[in-house]
Amino acid sequence: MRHAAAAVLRTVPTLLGVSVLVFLIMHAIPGDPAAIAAGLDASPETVAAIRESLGLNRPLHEQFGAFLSRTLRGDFGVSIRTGRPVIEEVAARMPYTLLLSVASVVLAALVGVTAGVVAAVRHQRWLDHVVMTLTLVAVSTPSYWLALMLMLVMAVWLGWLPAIGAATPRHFVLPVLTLGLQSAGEVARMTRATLLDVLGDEFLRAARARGVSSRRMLWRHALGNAAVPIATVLGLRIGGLLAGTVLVESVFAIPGLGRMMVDAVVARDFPMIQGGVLVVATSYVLINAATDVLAARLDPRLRT
Amino acid sequence: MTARAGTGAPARFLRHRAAVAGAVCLGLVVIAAIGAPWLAPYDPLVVDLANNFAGPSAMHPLGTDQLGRDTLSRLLFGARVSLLLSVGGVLSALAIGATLGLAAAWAGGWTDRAIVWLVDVLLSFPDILLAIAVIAALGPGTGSTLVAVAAYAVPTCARVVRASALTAVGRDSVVAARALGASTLWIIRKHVWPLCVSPVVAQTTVLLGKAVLVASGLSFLGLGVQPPEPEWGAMLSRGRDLTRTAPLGAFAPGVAITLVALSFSLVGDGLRDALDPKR
Repeated sequence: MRHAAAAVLRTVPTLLGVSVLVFLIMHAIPGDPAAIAAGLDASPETVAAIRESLGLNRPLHEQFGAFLSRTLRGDFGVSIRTGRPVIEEVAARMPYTLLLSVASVVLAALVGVTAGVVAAVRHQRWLDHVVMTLTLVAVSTPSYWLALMLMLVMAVWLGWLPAIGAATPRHFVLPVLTLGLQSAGEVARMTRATLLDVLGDEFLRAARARGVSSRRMLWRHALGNAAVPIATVLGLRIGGLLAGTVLVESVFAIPGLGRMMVDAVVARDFPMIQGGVLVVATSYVLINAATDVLAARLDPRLRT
Repeated sequence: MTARAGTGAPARFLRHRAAVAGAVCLGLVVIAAIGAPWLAPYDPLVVDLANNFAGPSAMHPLGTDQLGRDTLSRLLFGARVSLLLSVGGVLSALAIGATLGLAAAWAGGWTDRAIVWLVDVLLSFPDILLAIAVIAALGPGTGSTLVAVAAYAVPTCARVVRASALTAVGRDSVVAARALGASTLWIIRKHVWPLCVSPVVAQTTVLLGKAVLVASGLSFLGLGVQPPEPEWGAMLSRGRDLTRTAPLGAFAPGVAITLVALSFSLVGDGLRDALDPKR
């Protein structure tokens, strides 16, 4: 419990820095953000109204103070484009992105751990080389292209699954397959590396000397000890996918958080961008902190 | 020691077959990028609407896109953009990251804590998010993409340089040079930086592969290189239409991106093993 509280406290300086950077998105370039957001053919009145609504008339440090205090109260401002509160839009989009991330990590865990165990058991044999090559290709492939190729084969050629949209659970099969298989590459590499590490350890040699069967040794002793690093990678992946889904959401026209941010960047809708980036980065930091706490609970050696 | 690493490292790298394959592949891409004006059968920007979404033929080996532009020519010219963005972005990041990392390791104390904090903050934006935030501030475009790629790579560069520099700063040679009153910059140049070079070279190469993915991803989203400029990710931004009409046009740019990203990470792994045989 004390460990968990300390972990949360440690994120405070980081999150403060994140909020400064997010605040600066609107102020990084010289010029009037209100004029940029309003677009080229906006009337002076529109620009003035946007400037007023963004609070740009006040000095920078006062603006940041106001930004921080209302953000902490869960108020991310009002979208320039739609006039609706940003938090409502984020709340409407979040479930899609969250579902994609969590489902993809579950798939990545199943495929990745299996592939990693197989590679480690067959270390330096051809199956190991095949798995390692595949994982390297998986992490080097652009996710949106993998998505397009899966769409081409499964939806266009075979007609088994719908190509775009998010209406039914079937619509999520291809996006989850894309992100899950790609993340599985990373999980498999990590699983293999930790297993190989553990398999060389003293206590396993001792267990073998005691006559423990090699199957029991692999599943119980080796995987048990590899569980913490694997769980850590999976935790990091969930947070990373909150942003990583953006490219795949774009291919499959899924109205998630990533798609929202891209549309907002194109429209120069600053409050919307800031809300989206802040929510994703904060979630990422908190998920990572939670992963650390969990890892320390499972493995006393990691406690600081 | 440096001399032995100099003679031994190339031999060790050449024994690494996957890394050599990656290096050959990158060499071919560089040739394609430099030779694009002579190798490409067509002007990558010339529109031929009568011939749009054409399949592969003798005239257009990889077919044409939605505006009838030759896919092979756009692929060849796209190699220039991808390489320039990734190499330019990562080298800029290295200049900034190395300065930060060296300053943190050398000064220690509050300077170190401040720089570590900055790196942690930058690493709090997962995946492509920091790059998107940079584009959000600067607006879409090729120049912004370069800055976005650099911002993506800075924290990793700073981390690697700081870690290697920290071990160097504690060495007897550095302590002795300090005691003798050598200037800070001279000690860093002669005794600290040389120890950072191997990890930096390996890590930078791996980062180049990731930078290709980030730059093309931004362009795919319409936030990076803008049309009609030929860029691999941007060529896929109409990919959904291509899958139905000219699948090869959607296939080829992705293969190019994957090959370059894969080659960079293979070469990076090979360099790491060759330059640091202890690991």
